[in-house]
Amino acid sequence: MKRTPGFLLGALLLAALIAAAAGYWQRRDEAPTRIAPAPVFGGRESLLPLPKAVDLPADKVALGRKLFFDRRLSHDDSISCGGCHDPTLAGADGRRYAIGINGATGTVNTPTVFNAALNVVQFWDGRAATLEEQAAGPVHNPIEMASNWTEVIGKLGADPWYPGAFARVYPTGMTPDAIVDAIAAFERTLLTRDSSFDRYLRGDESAISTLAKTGYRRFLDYGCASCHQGANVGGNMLQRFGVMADGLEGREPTAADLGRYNVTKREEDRNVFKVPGLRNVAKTAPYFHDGSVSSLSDAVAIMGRVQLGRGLSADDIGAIVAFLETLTGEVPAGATQ
Amino acid sequence: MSAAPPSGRFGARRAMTVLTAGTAVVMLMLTWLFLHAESIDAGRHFAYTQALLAQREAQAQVNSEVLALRLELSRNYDALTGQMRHGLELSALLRAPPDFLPAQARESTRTAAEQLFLSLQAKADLVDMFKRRQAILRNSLAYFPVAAQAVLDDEKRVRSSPARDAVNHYARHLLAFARTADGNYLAQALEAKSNLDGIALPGADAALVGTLFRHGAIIEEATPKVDALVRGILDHPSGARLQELDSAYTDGYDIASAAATRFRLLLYGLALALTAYLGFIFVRLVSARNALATAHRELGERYNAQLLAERQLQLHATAFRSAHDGITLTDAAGNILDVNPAFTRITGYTREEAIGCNPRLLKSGRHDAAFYSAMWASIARSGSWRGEVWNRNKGGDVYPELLSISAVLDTNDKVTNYVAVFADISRLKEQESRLMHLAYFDALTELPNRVLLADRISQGVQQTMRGGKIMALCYLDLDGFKEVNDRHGHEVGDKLLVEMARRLRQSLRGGDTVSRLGGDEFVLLLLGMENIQECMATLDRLLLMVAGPMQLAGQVLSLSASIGVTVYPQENSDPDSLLRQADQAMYQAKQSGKNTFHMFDSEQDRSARSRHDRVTRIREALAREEFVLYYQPKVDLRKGTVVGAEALIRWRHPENGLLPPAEFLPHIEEHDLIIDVGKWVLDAALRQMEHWQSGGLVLEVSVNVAGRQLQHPDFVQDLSDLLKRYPGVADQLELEVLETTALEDMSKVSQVIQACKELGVRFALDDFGTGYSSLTYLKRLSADTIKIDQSFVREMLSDTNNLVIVQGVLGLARAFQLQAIAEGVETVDHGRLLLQLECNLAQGYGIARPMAAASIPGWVENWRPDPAWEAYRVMRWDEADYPLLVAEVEHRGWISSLLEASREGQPLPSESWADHANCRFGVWHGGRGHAMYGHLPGFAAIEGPHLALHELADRFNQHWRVGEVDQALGLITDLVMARDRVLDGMRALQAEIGVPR
Repeated sequence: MKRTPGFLLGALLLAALIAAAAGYWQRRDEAPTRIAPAPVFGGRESLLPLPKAVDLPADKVALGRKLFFDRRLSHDDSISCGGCHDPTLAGADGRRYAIGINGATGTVNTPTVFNAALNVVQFWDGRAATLEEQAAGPVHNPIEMASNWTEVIGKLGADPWYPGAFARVYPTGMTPDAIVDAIAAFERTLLTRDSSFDRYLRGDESAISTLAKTGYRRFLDYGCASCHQGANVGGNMLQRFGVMADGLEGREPTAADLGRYNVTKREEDRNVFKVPGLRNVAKTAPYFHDGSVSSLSDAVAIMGRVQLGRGLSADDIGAIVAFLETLTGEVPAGATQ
Repeated sequence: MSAAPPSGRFGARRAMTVLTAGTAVVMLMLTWLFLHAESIDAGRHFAYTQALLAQREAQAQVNSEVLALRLELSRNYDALTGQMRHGLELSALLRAPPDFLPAQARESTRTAAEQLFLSLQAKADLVDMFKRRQAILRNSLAYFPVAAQAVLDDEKRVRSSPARDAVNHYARHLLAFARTADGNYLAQALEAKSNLDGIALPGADAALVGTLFRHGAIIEEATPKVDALVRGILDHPSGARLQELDSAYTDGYDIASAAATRFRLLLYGLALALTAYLGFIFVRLVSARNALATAHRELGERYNAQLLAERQLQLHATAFRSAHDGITLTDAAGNILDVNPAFTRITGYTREEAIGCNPRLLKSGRHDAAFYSAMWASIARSGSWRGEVWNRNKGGDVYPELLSISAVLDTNDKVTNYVAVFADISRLKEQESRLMHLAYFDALTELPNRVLLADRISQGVQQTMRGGKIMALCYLDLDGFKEVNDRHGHEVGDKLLVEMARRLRQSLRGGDTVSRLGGDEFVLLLLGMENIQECMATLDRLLLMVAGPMQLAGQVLSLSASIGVTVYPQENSDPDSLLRQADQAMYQAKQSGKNTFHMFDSEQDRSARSRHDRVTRIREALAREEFVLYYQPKVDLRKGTVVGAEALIRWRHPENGLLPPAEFLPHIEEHDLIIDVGKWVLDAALRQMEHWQSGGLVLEVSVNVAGRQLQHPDFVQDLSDLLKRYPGVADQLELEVLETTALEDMSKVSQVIQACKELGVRFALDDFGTGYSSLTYLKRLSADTIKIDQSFVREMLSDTNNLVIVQGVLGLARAFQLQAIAEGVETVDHGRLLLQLECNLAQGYGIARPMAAASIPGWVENWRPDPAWEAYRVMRWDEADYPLLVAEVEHRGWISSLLEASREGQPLPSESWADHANCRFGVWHGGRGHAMYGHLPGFAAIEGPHLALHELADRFNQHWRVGEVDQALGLITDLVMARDRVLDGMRALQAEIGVPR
């Protein structure tokens, strides 16, 4: 039979049509990226109540939690994210410097993971714009987890649970992006709500002591709240450490002391750090980027002198510390392993 | 060879390939067009546009936050930070423009987006810097007054006024600068500061002043910087970048949109074209299908027709082969093309022998050339011939055949073949001749029978008409043959008949015929005789010959014969009539003593026949419903009502018109047909009564019954049966019987009348007065009504005798308590007189003529008594005064007879009228009248005219008698006037003496 040409033509035509249809539908199916709604903010006062955590898929959060506490993210399976950002230690490690694999010591004090979602940038020097960027950092840091994605994915892929769990949440499966996305999702749930100060802000006059109220007054009046403002009582800006006086107090400066300069190499960024949020500050000693101060009163005094150019009286300090202590919120459910 | 057209299959396959390829191309083209038309993803376009919008919004928010912070309207950076981050995120999104943009536009959009992104990052840096500086400046501004106050408080202790002033001055102007950014304030502040530098301060103060100056320095330095940052943020080029991106995208989108629209239009056009093409194809397909269906149907029909034709052909072949009749098929020249097996059977020639030969090989030679040429002429004319032909078979035997030849024509009416079908009819022929003999000849004597005789008679009549001679038909019957038969047996009888036949045959000439009708009856037909005498001579001879002795069965017998003769020419010419005449004459001969002949007398016959014909005609009329009933109303003059009608038969004769009963009933009066007619009349009358009754008219109808009908034994039973069929009107029937009829058989008729009365039927005696019934009879008959014969009634006005009879009949009726009705009421005067005579019922032309049944209801409806009767209806006259009525009649009659006699020139009535006192009126007038009515004015008034009339009459008489005709006739006018005066006077007197009823 000589029907081959017609048959072939028909087959080709069919294939072309199927391809066209497939292309068309695929293009249609690629839903355009949703525009995130414009953020809404709590008000124009200096301090604002802690907002509710955004609702995120439970699967994804659970996966993120599992990863957060998974030591396999470190090269020698010794350290997890939660190792240094321990929810029981207010999301930090209580040390002056973090300790990486093989006992390596870090160069800055570990910032708390609690309420980190509210920070404008991550790391003391603000080198990560997002939580996701931040999460990748320690994995690769030789003095922290000293690993890489290939290694991590290799190890996690061998786990019977992860591939299925990832497949459920991410169409792409387990990828570096998926890993950091899941971790960041978990971290976004770590908001410490219901501090006594929040209750006070919501109108409960008896939620904090008179002293704390005095401290709150002075915190606002003395200018602490110029930088430590917003819902996180800070965290939403950078500022030079030592505006009015040398913050290092004559100590030999380290590379880490240069702060943001290390990132931008701009002169105006020298000694500039992210202003830490003061939520749970009573629990996150030692203080400052170098963990050089272990007492909150000292830290407050130093801040008054170095940043505000004021000498704070013992009363002032006592009141302010009393105020700062009211910022301690509840460790969110599901924060721990 | 190469130029040979492609085979159908190859062509079809190539068309298929082209079609497939065409379809593929069109489909691909459609797909391509569709994809291009659909290239703009509305979702993406919307999202990108939304992102642009959101970006603009975010930047506005950033700017307004910055201003708010600068003006201390807002005290936290959450919103600023969030909006800036949001803007950066949007900017990252905007870096990927939708791919439906044309390449160039996409590139320029992407570039613009990239520019915007970089610009926004720069802006973010500015914002970042703003936050830091603003925070510091804010702190210093907050603390500066505190610090200044601290210095001043310290100064109070030392009371160093210049320093105090300087600090004051410095602080005020610096704060003013911070508020207004006015350089003058700053210059003054700096001047104050430099003044302070010159003033030595104690240690504690120095620290305070140092703090003040540090914060002051920050204010000095930061205020312009923060303001510059605010300006930089508000006027940031990212705004322009955003605008550029917007327009780049919009341009690109417009281009893509226009392109998509073009493709859509193309798609639409193509779709339209395809639809049109499809429609065209579909129409072609439908018409092709229809054509195919038609072709298929035609093919089917043709196939069926062919099948049918084949079957027919087979059938024909079978018919041809198995036909009992021989069939020959020839060409136009007559040469045999085919024959069937029957041909061989009949002719002996086989099919092979016959084919190619001409059918004339079968010629017997019995027919002449003229026969054949006539045959062929018939075929040429009508296409066929049919007839009997004698042919000769192969064995040489001649046989008759019934042959039919048909020409077969082609479409041009040209003969192509002949078909001859024939059957051997030799057996038929034999049978036919035998039958014919049987049919026409007497088996015993072999003489022609009655049938053949009739034929011969007809021929004889014709021959005689032509030849002008005489034909005689003689009916011969042997005298005493029955005795011979009885005595010697049938065999002898038969032999005798045979011998007699021989003798008769012998005695006749050539053209004559002798035939036997049966039994001993023979008929001889003698032709060509010159006259009756010759005929008679022949008959005498015949009688002699018949009577001659003959030897039969050892005995000598001799028989005479009686002969009836009729001759032709005469008025009848048909054999039956002639035979009947001869037969009749034969009986005459027998009656006149036998052994003789008698000539038929036509005159004697005719009268008998005519009566018979009339009766027959009437019977036909009855059967054809030619009779109708007319009805003549009967009225009550006094009451002014219609009391009934008399049914009168009429014959609506097709030729003679409407005939009264007198024209036909007398013919059947003595015939039983009158009974049938009478029954019909009764039935028709009853039917009509029923019809009227259904229309609301109840009318008693009387029907005339003939004596013969009445006396028929079944009459009562028949009447009873008939009445049962018309129960609604049975009691309204009256039968009229002639008085004369009733008197014929008194006892029978009275029985019938009695029986009918039990059925509820009344009887009237018709034409009463003509039969002179005695009182006894009248009583016995027990009729209900008597009808006074019209002759009396009609004449009673002018003839006193009739008047007296009427009066008498009325008296009779009254005496027997019978109803009386006067027939023949023709004028108003008749009616008036009857009223005066106390006769209320009347019938006659003066009231109504007999009319068709349909007219009766209308007449009854409209009839009113004559107004002239009005006075008489309500009055009565004493019987003793009847002379007054009679006088009127008398005088009228007297004058009319006088006038008539004078007109006719005859002698006048002999009575002398001169004496007026002697006339009947005169007697009454002088006697009872005078006694009773002498006082009445009318009584006196009439005397004069009465006297005058008598005088005039006397004078007339005298003139007439002496022949003075002229003088007499001159009196006539006076006479008539005088008469009328007398009559008027009499009427007036009548009116006067009449008493109201």
